[in-house]
Amino acid sequence: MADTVKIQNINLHLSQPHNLKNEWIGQTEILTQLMACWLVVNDQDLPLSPRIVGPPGIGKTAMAMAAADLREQELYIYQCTADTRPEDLLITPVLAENGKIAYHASPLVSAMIKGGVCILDEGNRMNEKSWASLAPLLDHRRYVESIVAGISIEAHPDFRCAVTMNQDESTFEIPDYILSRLQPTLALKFPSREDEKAILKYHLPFVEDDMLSMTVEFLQQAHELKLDFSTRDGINLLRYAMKRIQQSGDHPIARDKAWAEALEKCLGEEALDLQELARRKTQTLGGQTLPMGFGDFFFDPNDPLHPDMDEGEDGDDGGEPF
Amino acid sequence: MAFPIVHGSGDFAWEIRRAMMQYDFDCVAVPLPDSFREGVEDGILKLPVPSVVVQKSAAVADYAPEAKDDDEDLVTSYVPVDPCQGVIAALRFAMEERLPRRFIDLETDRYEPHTATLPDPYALKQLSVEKFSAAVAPFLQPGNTEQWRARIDHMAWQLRQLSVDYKRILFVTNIVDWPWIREAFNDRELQQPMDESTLDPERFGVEPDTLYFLMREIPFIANLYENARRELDDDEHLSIDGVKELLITARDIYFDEYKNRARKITPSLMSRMLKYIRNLTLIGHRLSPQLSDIVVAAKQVAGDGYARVVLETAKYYEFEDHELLSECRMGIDRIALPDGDVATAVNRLPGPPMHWTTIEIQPKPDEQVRKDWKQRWNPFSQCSWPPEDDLIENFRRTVFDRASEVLGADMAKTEKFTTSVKDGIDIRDTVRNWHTNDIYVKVLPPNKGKLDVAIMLFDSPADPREYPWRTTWFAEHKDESTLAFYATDFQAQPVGPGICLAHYGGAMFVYPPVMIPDIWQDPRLDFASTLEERLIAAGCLYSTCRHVALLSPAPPGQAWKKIAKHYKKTLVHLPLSKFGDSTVQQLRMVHVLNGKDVRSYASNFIRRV
Repeated sequence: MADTVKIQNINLHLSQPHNLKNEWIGQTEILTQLMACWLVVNDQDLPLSPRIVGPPGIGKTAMAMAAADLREQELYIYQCTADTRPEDLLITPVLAENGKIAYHASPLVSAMIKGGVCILDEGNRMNEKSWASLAPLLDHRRYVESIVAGISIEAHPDFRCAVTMNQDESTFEIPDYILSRLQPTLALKFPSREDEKAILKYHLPFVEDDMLSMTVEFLQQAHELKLDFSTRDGINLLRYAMKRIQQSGDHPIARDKAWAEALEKCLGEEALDLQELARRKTQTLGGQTLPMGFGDFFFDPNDPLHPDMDEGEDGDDGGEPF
Repeated sequence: MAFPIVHGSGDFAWEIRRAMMQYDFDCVAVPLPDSFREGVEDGILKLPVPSVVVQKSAAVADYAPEAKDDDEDLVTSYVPVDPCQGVIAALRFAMEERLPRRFIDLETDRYEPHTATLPDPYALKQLSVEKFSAAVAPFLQPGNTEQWRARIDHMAWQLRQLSVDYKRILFVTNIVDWPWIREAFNDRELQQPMDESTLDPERFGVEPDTLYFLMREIPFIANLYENARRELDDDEHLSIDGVKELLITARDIYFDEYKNRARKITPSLMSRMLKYIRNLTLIGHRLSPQLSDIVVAAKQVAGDGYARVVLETAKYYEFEDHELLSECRMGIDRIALPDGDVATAVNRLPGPPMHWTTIEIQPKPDEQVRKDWKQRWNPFSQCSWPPEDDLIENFRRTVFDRASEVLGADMAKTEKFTTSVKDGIDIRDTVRNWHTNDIYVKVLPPNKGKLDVAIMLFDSPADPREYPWRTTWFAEHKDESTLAFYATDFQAQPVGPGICLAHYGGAMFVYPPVMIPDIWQDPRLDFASTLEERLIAAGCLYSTCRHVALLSPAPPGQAWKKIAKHYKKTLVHLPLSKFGDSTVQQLRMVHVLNGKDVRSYASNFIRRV
């Protein structure tokens, strides 16, 4: 039975929170940054509403879900699309069984009322008009106005919001006045080898270790080549491969053959050419030193004092941060 | 009077100075061995120029390098002569006031530091030093080495000797040692431990780039402390106000460097950035931010360009070495000495442990490297970077779509039902107006026209001197447009080996692609007097449709409309402000690669704004 709440004489039917549990593996730093965005120090302080960006299938939504879980708050997810209209985001009138109009609050408004966490998933797909309806919610005013129901709704002090965005052509049209409210931008990267293996193991505990290793090896190589094959692709690939192996009990398919077939069917032919891409890259890179980041501001890339320098076999601690 | 401090904290240095001005002392004792006295006091006389006093370990100093084990390393200990160190601040004040100074630590050849994770010294703004020490004391652990025990006994014994000659001694000590020094001082059985034999320390300058690893305060903030000291300004809250000063100074430098390509860093954005820095600091269980927090926040709120400037500004320390001392380079727990030796380095005034974090951000390559890249550039092999091609083509599609909407295509309307349901019943509006009992229907007007040319003017009016690179590119494949543009000189901005960066000022896209003569050489367009007019004229010349999409900051004026009219075309204007500032800045970037093989590694050097 859906919850209802009465606001300014209007009965609102609230959406149900998600009860998905999601463990976050690796990249703790960015999770900490998201938690920092949602931190408030007193009653007058306001939380930030960050953008979580990165390629598809990398775990943007999963991370926001894990953050909601850490905060022990109810989680609501709103899937944004190109034709999302302001009233879809806020309150939708529907025809009830008794022939009267009932007002249904979106997951976003439900989170606002109940003090939950709302993830606006793939927010980049929404048009400016829809974003404009959220402008007062995302600044110090913290309320929304529903034209359809003729009411304004204030956000609960515990309400938190994050927007996930893919960096593709659909991000062009979010205007500055909205982007300035969606700060900071947390960029999620591809996971490290160990983390990626742990993620695959978490989602597919029944898959043998050699299949996992093959997939992780492939994904890591793809990440290195800056190709957009994600952990989600790896999960789908393994699922398909396992199904193919299970499919014919009397004529079992060799694992590597099933894996290669899954690779082609799930990720396309270009995925088969990774080896060649990797070989070409090592040839052309020659003796170039690649940028290492923060440490380059203090040290020459070849300086033995460079903290990000790979110590190699003689390294003292395998590159652990100090 | 004992003054327990956290080493490397500007706040404690400030408190010491205040205490020394408030009370009369007749001697100052510090937790350093006497062998460091000459070097440290020489360094203090040269402040605010920082230096480092280094003592090599005798155990390996005479070691023949060729006979070294892999495990054997040159070991040094050092004292940073840094104005934000409490011990240095106390000695500096004592030297100015001609007070006797005593270095009472034990001489040790291989110094073993004793540190702990401590509360943020910024708490002193709300707490007295006594309360801070009392709050920390129950959580302190004694050292577990013989050397530490001997050092504690030695300092206690020395303090006893000093108390015979002096009445009001100020003893500045590490807060993590203080409870045990006090215990030993009151112990009647105390014996004086023997000094070890050590080498003479040497004083070196520090390479400016690595000052951050010598000073535990951000060099820019240390600089503010020194300026405040010189100008007699208030410096009580500089550890926090200095961060704001850093962000504002960096913003000015950023605007100056990036000019019209800079992102708009408004006061509102600044306040969000500061709030985020505060939250990152609190979630890291600190009260004052670390440099990594500041840079991460700058990057995530205002982009890589600004973050880079913040980091470069943070390294700024204006006081230079006029002694021309040999310079060493400081690292994390390591030091590169002027003779080329790289040694393990132990700080004798150790603050809380330092944590290193890696942030994806790239410095500007230095002049020599840029020169090298420029020299290797092959002018006969140039190509674009495909991800950027895709981005700008996607944007061109978006511009076409929006211009079509302006023309009336895809502009669904809703009206009251009269005689026809037209393009279907609009349930939403029918329900919305339920109380009126009216039915509403959708009306999809017919498409009014196609578009095959889009003109994008990112910088208008454009200064022709700023955009010397003017060219026409032909499509590599059927999904690409023919592109004519004016942009900044890519060779002036190398960003990697075989990779240069330019910025579009304006561009014209013809899609589907057609072969056209270079519009910048075409005499038919010579009547155009500005870069923008030439692009518009070319767009109108090669468009086969009635309408030409124009994206620009301001609507087209009479002159542009006249050009369009000349070609019997109409400009469909889209305001540039419709699109996000950061999006536009990204779209303006165009990387030129020196051959298609560079594409394989270009992404390692190319950072989006």
